[in-house]
Amino acid sequence: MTRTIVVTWRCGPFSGRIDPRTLVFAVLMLAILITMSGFVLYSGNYPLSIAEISTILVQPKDDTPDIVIWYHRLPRLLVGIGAGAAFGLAGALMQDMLRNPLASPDVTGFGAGAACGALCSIMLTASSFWVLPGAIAGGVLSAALVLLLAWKNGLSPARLVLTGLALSLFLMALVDIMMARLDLLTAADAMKWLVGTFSSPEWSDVVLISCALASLGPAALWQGFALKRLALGDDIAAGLGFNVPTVRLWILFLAVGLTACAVGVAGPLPFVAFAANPIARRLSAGFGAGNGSPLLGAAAVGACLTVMADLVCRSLPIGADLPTGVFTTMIGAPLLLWQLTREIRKGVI
Amino acid sequence: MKKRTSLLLALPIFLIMAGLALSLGPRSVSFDELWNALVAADTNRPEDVVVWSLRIPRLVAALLCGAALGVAGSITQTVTRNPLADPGLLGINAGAAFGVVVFMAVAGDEVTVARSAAAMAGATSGALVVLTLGAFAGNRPHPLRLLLAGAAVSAFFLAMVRGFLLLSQQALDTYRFWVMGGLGGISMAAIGTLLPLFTTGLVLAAAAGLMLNAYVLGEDLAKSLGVDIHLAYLLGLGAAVCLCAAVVTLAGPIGFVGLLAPHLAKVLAGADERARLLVSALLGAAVLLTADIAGRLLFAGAGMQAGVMVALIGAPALLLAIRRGR
Repeated sequence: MTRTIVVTWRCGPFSGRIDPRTLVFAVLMLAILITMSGFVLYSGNYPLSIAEISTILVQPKDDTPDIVIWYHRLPRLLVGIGAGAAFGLAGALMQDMLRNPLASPDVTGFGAGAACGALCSIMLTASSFWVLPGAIAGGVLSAALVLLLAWKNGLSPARLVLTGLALSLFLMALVDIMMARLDLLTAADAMKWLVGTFSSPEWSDVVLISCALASLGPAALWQGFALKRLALGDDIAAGLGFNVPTVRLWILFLAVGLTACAVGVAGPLPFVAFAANPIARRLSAGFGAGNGSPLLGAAAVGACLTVMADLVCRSLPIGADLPTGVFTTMIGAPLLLWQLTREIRKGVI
Repeated sequence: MKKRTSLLLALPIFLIMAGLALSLGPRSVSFDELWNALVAADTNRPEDVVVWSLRIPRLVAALLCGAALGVAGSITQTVTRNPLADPGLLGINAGAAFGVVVFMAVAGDEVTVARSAAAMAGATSGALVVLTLGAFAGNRPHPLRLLLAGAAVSAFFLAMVRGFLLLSQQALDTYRFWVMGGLGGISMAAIGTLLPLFTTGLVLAAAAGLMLNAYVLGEDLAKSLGVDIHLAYLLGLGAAVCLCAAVVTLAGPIGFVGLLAPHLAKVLAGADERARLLVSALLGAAVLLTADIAGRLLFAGAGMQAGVMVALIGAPALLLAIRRGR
């Protein structure tokens, strides 16, 4: 056992504990994120040197390089970071709340609900403006339905997961029906959205996802305290004065809100929400930082994963513009299988 | 005695259903015309052509696929000792679908031996994951484990399928109709192509079925009865993989039949695994045929594909079962 070094921080009535190794972890994640952001801004069809990019960022003008950076690469980067962080946070909230590393929003039916809502709005209005509200409404509605159907004197994790699975099968059938009713070009566009892509984001998307993170993020981090108690088991958490069903409801609300906004701007990027938390835990455990905030770590890892996937999918020399979701799947799915075998061997799930 | 009367009752019901399946559709055929077409076929009459070239292959496909799915579901539930195991939920169907989509993008929409080989490869890789996880899972795993594993594997295959479809718009156009599990466009030639695969699967299932009564007793008792439990496991999963690959190649990924039929069969057939397998086959065929007829009855015009109909009815039923249980 290594001794934990903890610095206590006081300021009037407030106090907190800072573990230096958590700080190291945070600095490392930040460094990775900044490096990859640099790559995202640098790579692309329009060649720009690093010096040019830094001038453009500091003093925007009105010529082509500025448009490339300010209207293409920068919003894309920011949407990637924001959506990834929101997915990571939402996944960590769900997994820790249900004490089940497999119970991420994609497995439990929110993704299918969002896809269904988006397709409904495409079918009904035939314009892309309503895709985002449709996706958010679909995600929230399906989450509410899962909750309603799974609620029976409280929220049993097993029943919640099963209900989510069954409902997402139903929604998937609806998606299949709607896909067959669209004309082929619209269907191809819709398919691109279903995989998860943010190749042409607007600044309004950036505003939406930052507002979501700014409003729901702190609340989610605050629930981290409750999550630590919930990890001890329902009975002990109740004994410590938590109203367990209410806490679960709050956490679910936050997770759904974050997922819905992220899905709205970037599509249902598969496996980011699922993979972020386990990676963050492994990494922070590698640094020996036990008592940091795992939620913040999950958000950082989610952002890194998404930006990395976007970078890979843009720099592949195949010509076609493959959506980012394909690469988040390629990174996330093997991790999922590895996690699954580990958990099953330990007998956790 | 009671079971025998219920079987006797089933025969006229089945005949009525088959009659409905042959007469319903965009070009409806009256029972008189149907009788004439069946007894004295005449290629000059349009309704005879409809019956013989469209409706009869469709009926055969529904019965064959339904029976295959019922058997696959029953055997998977027994060998994984998991009441919620269904090839559709465990990722076997999704794997087969991935194989078929890759084939579609490369070679187009023909039911060939190569297409079924692609489906077999995909289904086997899906099943291998289940096998591996089952090996880790010990004797009596929580039913949720394999289900979540299956959901994750299915999500993986689905994302890959969608990524693949973006590369070829033609494949997308074929895929979006195929994925609904329609039985309408199936020809007798396509059924003939896949008959060997169906037969292999059913023979394997029969071989495994003979061991299943010993299998459920556990490893030690099975050994004392002279049954190799690992052989039964392999045969059973092999049968499920073959049958699912055949169904997915022919009609598309159809879920829920493999979940529903064995549970109904348990009520009818009791604890005897061999009887349950047989009744599952019959009930699976009945379920898929009913879904196909309901799709044509409820949605006028082109009708609704059987696979989607099964999901639209089966998912709420599953939700209800989840809510009532535990």
